[in-house]
Amino acid sequence: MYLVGNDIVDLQHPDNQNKASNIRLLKKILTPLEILTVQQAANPNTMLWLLWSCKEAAYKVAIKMGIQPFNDATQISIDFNNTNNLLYCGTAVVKNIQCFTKTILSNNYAYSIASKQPCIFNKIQGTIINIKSCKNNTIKTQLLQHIAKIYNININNLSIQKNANTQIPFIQYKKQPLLQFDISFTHDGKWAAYIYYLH
Amino acid sequence: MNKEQIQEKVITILKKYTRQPEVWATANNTSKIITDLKINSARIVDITLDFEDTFDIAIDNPDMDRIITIENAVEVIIELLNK
Repeated sequence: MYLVGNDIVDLQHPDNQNKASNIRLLKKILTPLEILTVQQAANPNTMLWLLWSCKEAAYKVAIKMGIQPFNDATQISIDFNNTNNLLYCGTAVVKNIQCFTKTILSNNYAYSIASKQPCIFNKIQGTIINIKSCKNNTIKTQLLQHIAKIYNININNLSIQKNANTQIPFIQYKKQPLLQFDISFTHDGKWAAYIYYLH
Repeated sequence: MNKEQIQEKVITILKKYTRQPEVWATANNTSKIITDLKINSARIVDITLDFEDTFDIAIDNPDMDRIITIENAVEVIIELLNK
């Protein structure tokens, strides 16, 4: 089973500004090595949220693998092994679970996807939308429309449910889970995104 | 400071980070901060820092992990205030 996770951070949102200079905050969410990476970055605030989005995307994969939910993000470590200005590929270790991450950086957002198997990155489908410009068409509706089109089925028979205990989302068709899809959603500020992997 | 006063301050802090105010209509002590109050997970650390400043306590990462619900937050703060 290939599991996927994603996370987006709105880099322009007021809640996400000027956080990298707050050492108390950094110590609560980053490992010592990651703090050094942030402090040495050309744009420390962007690096902070880039690391955070990797952690969150990897955390979603680890939760799907059965680890218990936790808040302490220092238990997730990120190591970038291939970077350029706009694309960061890395390895995440969530407690004892290793995942791989891929992050796209723009002026507006840091967007990460994660999986245990980096070989599936090219097969992960998804999209990012600006919520403000798509008010009548939420990210979840867009995913359902997409799936309805793939299978040529009525969208009214599709829904997105969440496991009551784990909060992991899944797609339902005529009240039955569509197990061949693994999905993940994220939103922050004016950005939202979905991904899915079709087994 | 009694439990009710602590809870009131906790709720005031949480409301500052709620992007969907309507969730408070059905909130109770057992409401989960991220899933029920719809607070972005990135704000948990801001909330923790606000708790530290408001109650003059230090919340370490294992204690932060225990804060899942409103009730948990109040319990952790009371424990730290009594240390």
